[in-house]
Amino acid sequence: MKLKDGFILREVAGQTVVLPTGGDLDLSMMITLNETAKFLWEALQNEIDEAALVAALLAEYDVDDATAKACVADFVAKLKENDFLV
Amino acid sequence: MILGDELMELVRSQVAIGRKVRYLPFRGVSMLPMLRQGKDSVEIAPLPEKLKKYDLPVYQLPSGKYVMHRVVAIKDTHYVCLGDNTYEYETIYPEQMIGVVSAFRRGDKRIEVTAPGYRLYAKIWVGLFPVRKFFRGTKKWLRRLLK
Repeated sequence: MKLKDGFILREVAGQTVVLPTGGDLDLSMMITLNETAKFLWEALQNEIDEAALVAALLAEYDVDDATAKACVADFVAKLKENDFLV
Repeated sequence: MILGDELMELVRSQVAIGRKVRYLPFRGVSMLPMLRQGKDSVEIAPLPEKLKKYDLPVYQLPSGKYVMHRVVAIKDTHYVCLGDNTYEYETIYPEQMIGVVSAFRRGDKRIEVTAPGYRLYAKIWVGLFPVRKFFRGTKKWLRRLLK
């Protein structure tokens, strides 16, 4: 899986947000990402599967396997739900 | 009315590439009765080549603050702006201008600045400035009587 095109990350008021790049900018469409979500978002710029995302998270952060898996599953589910993935 | 610095950096970058940004909250009472803090918000579009009378530009003051008020007169070198609920004219130069309000949300309703009802409101309100100023003076005078 991979993120669709048409979004950019930006720092706004000290937070990382996702902005759609096409058309006008509706601030209600702006999504705030926490640090982990930002890390996963960046990893998803290229084709990657869920297991590789978990491995990347484990390599970057001091978390246990179960937490990393749950975190990735939750984030991927949210992305799918909002139609962000190819 | 005052627009938040952090969101304005984003607005600045987006209008510079030709995008509109909607809807921005604001602080202050200077655009009452039209725009109410906490209830209403604005859409900001890229600047046109020239602003017109009654337009609602967003500009930066020398203090760094971002403000949105109404153009009430156009001079050779600058614009004269005034809040719908303020009494001091402001001299604003084109280089201070960032964007212009193209629509606003008043409660749940979206109002375009091209809407005839809104245009009429703007003309009447600006035209009533001497009356507004007179009543403000009267109110101050009456208050003094009570001191």
